[in-house]
Amino acid sequence: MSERGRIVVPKTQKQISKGMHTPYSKEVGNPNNAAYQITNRSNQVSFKGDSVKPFTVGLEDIDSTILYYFNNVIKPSVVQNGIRIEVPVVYADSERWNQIQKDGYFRDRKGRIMMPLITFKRTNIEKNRSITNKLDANFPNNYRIFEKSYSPKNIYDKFNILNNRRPTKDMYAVVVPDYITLNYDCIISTYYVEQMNNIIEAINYASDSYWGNPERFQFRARIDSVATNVELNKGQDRVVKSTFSIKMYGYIVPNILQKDLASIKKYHSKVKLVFNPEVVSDIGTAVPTIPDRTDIRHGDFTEFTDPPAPVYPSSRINTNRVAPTPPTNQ
Amino acid sequence: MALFGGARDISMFRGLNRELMGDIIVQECAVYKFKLEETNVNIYGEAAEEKYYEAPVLFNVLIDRQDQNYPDSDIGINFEWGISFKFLRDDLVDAEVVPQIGDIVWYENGYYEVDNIIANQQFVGKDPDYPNKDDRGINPLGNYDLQNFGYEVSIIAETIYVPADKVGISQERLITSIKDVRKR
Repeated sequence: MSERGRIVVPKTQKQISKGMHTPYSKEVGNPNNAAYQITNRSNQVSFKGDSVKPFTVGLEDIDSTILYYFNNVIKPSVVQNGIRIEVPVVYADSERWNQIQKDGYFRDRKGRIMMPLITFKRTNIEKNRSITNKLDANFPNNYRIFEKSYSPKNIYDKFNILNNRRPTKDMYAVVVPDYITLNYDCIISTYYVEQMNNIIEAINYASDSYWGNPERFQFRARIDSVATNVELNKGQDRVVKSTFSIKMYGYIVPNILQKDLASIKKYHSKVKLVFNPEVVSDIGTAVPTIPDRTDIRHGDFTEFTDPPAPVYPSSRINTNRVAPTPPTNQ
Repeated sequence: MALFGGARDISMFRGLNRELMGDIIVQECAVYKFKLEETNVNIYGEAAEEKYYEAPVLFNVLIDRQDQNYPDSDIGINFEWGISFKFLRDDLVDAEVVPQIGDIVWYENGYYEVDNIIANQQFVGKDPDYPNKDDRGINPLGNYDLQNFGYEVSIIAETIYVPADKVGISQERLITSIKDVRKR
């Protein structure tokens, strides 16, 4: 009777479909109804006061590996007018004012670019689906877990070690990255073929290795072919140009709102409290153990000797220095 | 010794130009120079976060406006406007401003990026900065006072229109989301 006058709201197709599902696991419930993942408050752990930042790798990190490797590892150089000159490496097509005013050290007084010069720019990103993936961006399923060794809640403490106490640990979960293959177009420009040869040799040697700062990120780079061309056009200066492509195998873990909302970023290990009962067959024969000490000795301390325990201990850790004597059957 | 293009001729031209541009024609624009030390760029050569400029300097200029253009581009109907600003070089020297590619010109509440500089207008075809003297101060052809002849008259900055929010000088984008528009 109470439902009289109630407007009937027909079920949506999604609700009908969900009603026909039989969940395999009662604990997890219907896997198609992923809303349970959102409302799990235990996964919403704050990073406030944490010295670890959420892990992210972006495209700029990958691009910067090329710049780092050219400038710090390959260090291409040519001999020009008897002087060894480091070859500048720049990202192509930067802002106008930057090219002319700020980044103009490789230009002459009139603004003409002085060779040699290496320019590169990213031209293509291709998804690499042959490696694992996170399955669903709405609710990522695959994570990589990192454990923080020690934290304010998990301080290194010998007392804990002696007593086999393991405080809760901080675990950081990072969504399995999106594996991508990036393509870069590079142009080397020099005045002379001889200079070009040196640069190509250096770059070819560095191919198929991991490029980048060892203290940050490194990605495998492949250079398959280098095309060299001497341009001698009427009304223009002679220029030797080589073009090649770098294929970089990278991955990205973006710092975006969707990932922050839907993925687990941090959690704590479960605390386990273990009680070991000690049982005696006759309470009258049990002698209470009252150790004659006020603090816990540990390390290489040799002067103090605990009296042997009258009762053979169970599996819990033995803090006595002298091995206890098992009761003899008389 | 050159006959024409000496100091008196130059002074007369300079006075005429300043009178024409400052008292008769009176077209003005302001030039913003970048503060290169303070404006940081990323690896792509972009100052995406913040740009810093020197204080603008207002000049009397001759302005050559092209027609506005609304090309149909890949992203929709766009807007283009190219303007040439012709500066009297002496004014720039007095103000210690050197227009360079990438600088910003402010004109009629619009911002224009310099994409070409033409400094090719020389009175009597000579630049007094190049007297061609050797280490002893002697011109081998006997022209001992070339530094007093000739005159760099103008510097022409060809510019393209850039949206004001890219320049970041004035607050142009007052609404950051379509949701703000709907709330109104």
